[in-house]
Amino acid sequence: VTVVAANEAQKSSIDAALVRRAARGDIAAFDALVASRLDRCYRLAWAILENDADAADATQEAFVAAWRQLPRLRDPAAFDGWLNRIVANAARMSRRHRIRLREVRVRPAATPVDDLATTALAAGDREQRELEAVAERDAIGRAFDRLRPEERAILALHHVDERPVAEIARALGIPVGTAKWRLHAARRALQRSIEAEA
Amino acid sequence: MSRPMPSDATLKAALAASLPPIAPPDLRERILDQARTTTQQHRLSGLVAPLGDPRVSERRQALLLIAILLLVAALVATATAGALLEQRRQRLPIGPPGDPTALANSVGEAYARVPAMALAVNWTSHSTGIHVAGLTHHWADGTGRFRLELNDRDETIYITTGSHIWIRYRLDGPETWADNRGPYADHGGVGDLMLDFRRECGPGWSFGGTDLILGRPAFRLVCGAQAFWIDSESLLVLRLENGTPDPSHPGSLVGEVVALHFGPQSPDLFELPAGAAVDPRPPKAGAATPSVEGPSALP
Repeated sequence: VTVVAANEAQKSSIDAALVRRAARGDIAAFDALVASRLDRCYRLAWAILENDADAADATQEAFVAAWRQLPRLRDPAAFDGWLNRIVANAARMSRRHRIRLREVRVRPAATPVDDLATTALAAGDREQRELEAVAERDAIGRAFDRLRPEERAILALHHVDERPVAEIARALGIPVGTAKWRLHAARRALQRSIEAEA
Repeated sequence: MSRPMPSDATLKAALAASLPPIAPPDLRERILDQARTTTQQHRLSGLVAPLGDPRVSERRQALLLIAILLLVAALVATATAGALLEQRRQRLPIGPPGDPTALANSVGEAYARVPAMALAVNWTSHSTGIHVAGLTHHWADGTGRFRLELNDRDETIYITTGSHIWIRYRLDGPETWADNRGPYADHGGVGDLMLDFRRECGPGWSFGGTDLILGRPAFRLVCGAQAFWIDSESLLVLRLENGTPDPSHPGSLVGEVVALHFGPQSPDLFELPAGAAVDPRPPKAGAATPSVEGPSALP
């Protein structure tokens, strides 16, 4: 535990130094920050937008905005929450714009669970468990798609990127208590959606 | 029957499978390319600093705070202005300042104890196609000595000291100082200072209201075709309007104080200059003490 804590402290210290350098205009330092956070931010944008191109554009817009505003960030330790919030806002703005354009995303039809179950009959027990797991993940994925963007974003931040609730709260611009409640509500909504899929 | 909530591990795997694992390969380079050509914005200072925050809620809070402060400032300014106006309004009498005739008498008495001061009067005269404008400057030392300078052709100067009424004139040649002689003899010491004001009024005085002259509340005393604006504090005449009641000879005269300063004046103003040429002839008989309400010569 001590080693893990020490590593975390060292990583935070390095990140803070990178943030300070980037704030002074060091593009290499900014590149290091981008590299370690790009996938996570992209997933957050994607969770809200459900579209590769829009998510990429929103992520790019957010990182460039962060670069522009970095000198104004007072606390380097708050960088991740601050960045997530910029990403979430950029994705929300993009989504609003897309809604105005009335673009509708069509998800490819998933493999019916019944088909998977039928196939499972012909397989052995191990393969059957794997197929059930695949079916469950697929159901969860489709249930996830049916959630509202805010619910998807908070679930992605918490379950996929494993961000602490306090950072999620900063990212979404809400109090920690509200973030906890929204996370709980999103999980309930996901459960209901999974039941509907079943 | 409701299904149990999947475990966190299952959720993580399922959600991760639903989300793209990595960003597009060119996205990092796109970001850096744009960042290289984007100028960073440095921190604003003070109250407006949050306006530069990329977070919408922070900017909204800052804007709200600034709007509240501006509103408070506007309210304070309005209240201050209102208080000043109220203070000014309270200085203005609601109705006539008592008996107008008594006020006219008080004006005459006020000129018997004129404080040390300097003022300038702008005169405008209209009469059957003739328009004359001019400026007169007046000084008082607070002890009964006066100086008057006319901007007439001769640059006439009056210095009234005790029993002398010195007049500098050049009508007959070189500059000469005479004691109550010449064409301007019998000029009252404070005649022009009073802007033609006299206590007596045949038709009777009436009160015409209160106005601001030089930003000072002034009572308007009306006597027939004449009106005088009396400073509510010093009781000096600040404005004169003298219309001609005879329609066959239309004309008007307006004199208005355009500068007024109370305070000590230079003693030299009330003395004859060194080496002044003095008319040796004796003063006009009977002229000695300057009359407070003596006849006034218009510029």
